[in-house]
Amino acid sequence: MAEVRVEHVWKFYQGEKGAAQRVEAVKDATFTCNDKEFLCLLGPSGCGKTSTLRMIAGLETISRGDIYIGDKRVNDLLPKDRMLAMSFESYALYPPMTIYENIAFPLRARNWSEERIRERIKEVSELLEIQDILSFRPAKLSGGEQQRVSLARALVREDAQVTLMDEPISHLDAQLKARLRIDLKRVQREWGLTVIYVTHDQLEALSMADKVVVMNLGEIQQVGTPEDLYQKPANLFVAGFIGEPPMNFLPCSLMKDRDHFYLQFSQFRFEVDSDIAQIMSKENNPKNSWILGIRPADMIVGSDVSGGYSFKAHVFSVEHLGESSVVTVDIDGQQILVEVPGLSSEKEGDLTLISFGKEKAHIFNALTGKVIRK
Amino acid sequence: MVNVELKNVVKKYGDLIAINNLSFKVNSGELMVLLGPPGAGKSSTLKMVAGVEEVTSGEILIDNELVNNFDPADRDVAMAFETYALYPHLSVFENIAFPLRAPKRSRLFSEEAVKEKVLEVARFLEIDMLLERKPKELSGGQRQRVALGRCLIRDPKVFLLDEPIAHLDAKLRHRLRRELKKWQQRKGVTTLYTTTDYLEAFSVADRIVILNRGILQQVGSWEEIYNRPANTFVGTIVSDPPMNYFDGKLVMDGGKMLMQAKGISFYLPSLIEEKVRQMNISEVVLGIFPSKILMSRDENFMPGSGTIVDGVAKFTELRGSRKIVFVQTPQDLSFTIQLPAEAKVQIGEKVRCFFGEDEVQIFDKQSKINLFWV
Repeated sequence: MAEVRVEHVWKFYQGEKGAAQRVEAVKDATFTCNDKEFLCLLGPSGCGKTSTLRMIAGLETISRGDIYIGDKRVNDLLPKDRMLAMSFESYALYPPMTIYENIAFPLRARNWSEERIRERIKEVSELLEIQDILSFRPAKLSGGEQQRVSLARALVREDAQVTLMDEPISHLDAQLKARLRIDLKRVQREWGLTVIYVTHDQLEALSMADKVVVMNLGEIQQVGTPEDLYQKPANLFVAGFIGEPPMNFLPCSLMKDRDHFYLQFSQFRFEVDSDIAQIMSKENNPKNSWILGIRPADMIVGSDVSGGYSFKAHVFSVEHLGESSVVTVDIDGQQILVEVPGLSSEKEGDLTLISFGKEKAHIFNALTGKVIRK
Repeated sequence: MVNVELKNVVKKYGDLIAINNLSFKVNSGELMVLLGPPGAGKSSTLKMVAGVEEVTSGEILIDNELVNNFDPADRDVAMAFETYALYPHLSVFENIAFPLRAPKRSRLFSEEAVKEKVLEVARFLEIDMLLERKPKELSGGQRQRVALGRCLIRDPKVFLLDEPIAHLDAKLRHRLRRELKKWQQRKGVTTLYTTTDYLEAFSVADRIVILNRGILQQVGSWEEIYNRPANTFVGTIVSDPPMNYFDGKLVMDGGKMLMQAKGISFYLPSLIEEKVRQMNISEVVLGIFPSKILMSRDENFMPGSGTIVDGVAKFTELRGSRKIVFVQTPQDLSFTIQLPAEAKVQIGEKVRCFFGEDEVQIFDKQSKINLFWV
């Protein structure tokens, strides 16, 4: 096992019309995956997460920067010399071999005894529930089964320093996905694996990772624990990408009335502490355009939070979702979602009070997207 | 006012029975969701109502009229398929306008009226900036919305929507599920709608039909289903994490019937006891949703009538506003609990869990049927 360090790494792809059209797929990425850590690279399609993983794997050249596995700089090492186990979205199983042979293949190449191979495959195939299909050939399998086999092939290696996974469970149905998330996390912990895992699904990242690297348009947006990303998003992108239902964004202007500062949204005012207003005044924001971000689960309906913010609005819709309800209110055409536990008694069209604690409000510079924090 | 009724409908593909004796009725103006995993028979059911697939046996009635032998065009239904089937040579505008230009209707709408209707639908679906494009220039999610627009622009007797928002990003999906419901209510068109997502089903449906392998599992409002899932299959698919299950034996204890699982003992509610005696049941399954289990560190914790289960928090999973705790008991029972994200739980910590009498479901072990329900 070993840590992985990615230092100022770039990936350029040459455009069709020569160097001038150069596409920057990854821009100056720096992060460390510690030994025995589960790290997720998270972002929408085209954000550079897979390019980053492929550079770690050695499947793509590194345009600039360095990647270390353990103490060793691996830029110039072939994939097979990097001591990695991989499971990729495109399943890459050998069609003429049975599933058992497919999984055994990398182990035989390492001169494992047949006995040891059999035991190991038994263990991994039980975990992934593929015992019954070991004698099949890949063509007979559904997409979900192929994904599980591909995952088995990565997990079966005990000698890998780092396990790399690219969307390994994205094509599975919800139930199996939920179970595999738990199993993968358990295996990673029990076997002490160092895992770098690519996904576009924020729930997968939040539920499994020790550390998440959020990417967008080739750039790292934030590196942190799942709690950090959820509670202290660094910018508007992270705030909007993490959490479901998504965070509410209220467009505001900063106003001063006598000695007090306010964020003005529609006809509502939310008071801002003077030290925050001080920081805001130093921001690059010529249009005085701010976003007040508030998570649906951080608001309450029908009563007041003492010392918090509150406003009144008409209920647009109420969705009952079993263990929780989502109440949507409408202010001047802007819809605001509030998630409340259990069964909400609000009715469509009612005028209701919405409130939230000051500490739950996130303020962003609408021009730069950056969060404003003390 | 139009109702839709299926009576003993069977659909076979060769030897495979895709739909097995399915009967249910959709009331006039109602939005009925067909919920089930892939392969449950949801799409087949919709296609038979549309008339694009024949029924093997049984009857389909629209507006109290037997339509088994009607061509799709004579049924006056509008269907949005999951495979979008757009006209590749037509622009988005013309694709959406297409139904209004059909020979039967073309004289009903002036060019101006067509334009107005297309714009209204396109704005609603956030594709009004794409009207000049051809389908091949669209992403999957955009194509799905065009197909939906082409369906919604009509005023048919019945809307048939096959996973209409499955491929959209989280933000749009959340908005559309609220707005689709309003659109459908405003138009008052009887609707059949399929999804694999129970939250989407709960959110949009007036009532829900739950299907598994072509067999009807339960019909009811979300409350009826959530409060009394008809069987363990339903309990599993309407909760994430799924309902917890514990196998138990029944013994007599001082004239009362006691259910005993590993370390859990539970007096059967008198309502159930009677049925258990009549049906001569000796083994049952106790089920409880993760969101219905209460947890405390307090040794004297006993918030009501029910049973206490002591265990250890094995690990936790953060899911945005929620935290999932995996608990294991000394008798090797394991189950999940859903708590608010702020809940402080240490891994390895002893926790005391409470299963309230009113929150517990009791299933017959053999048939998996909920005994409260029979």
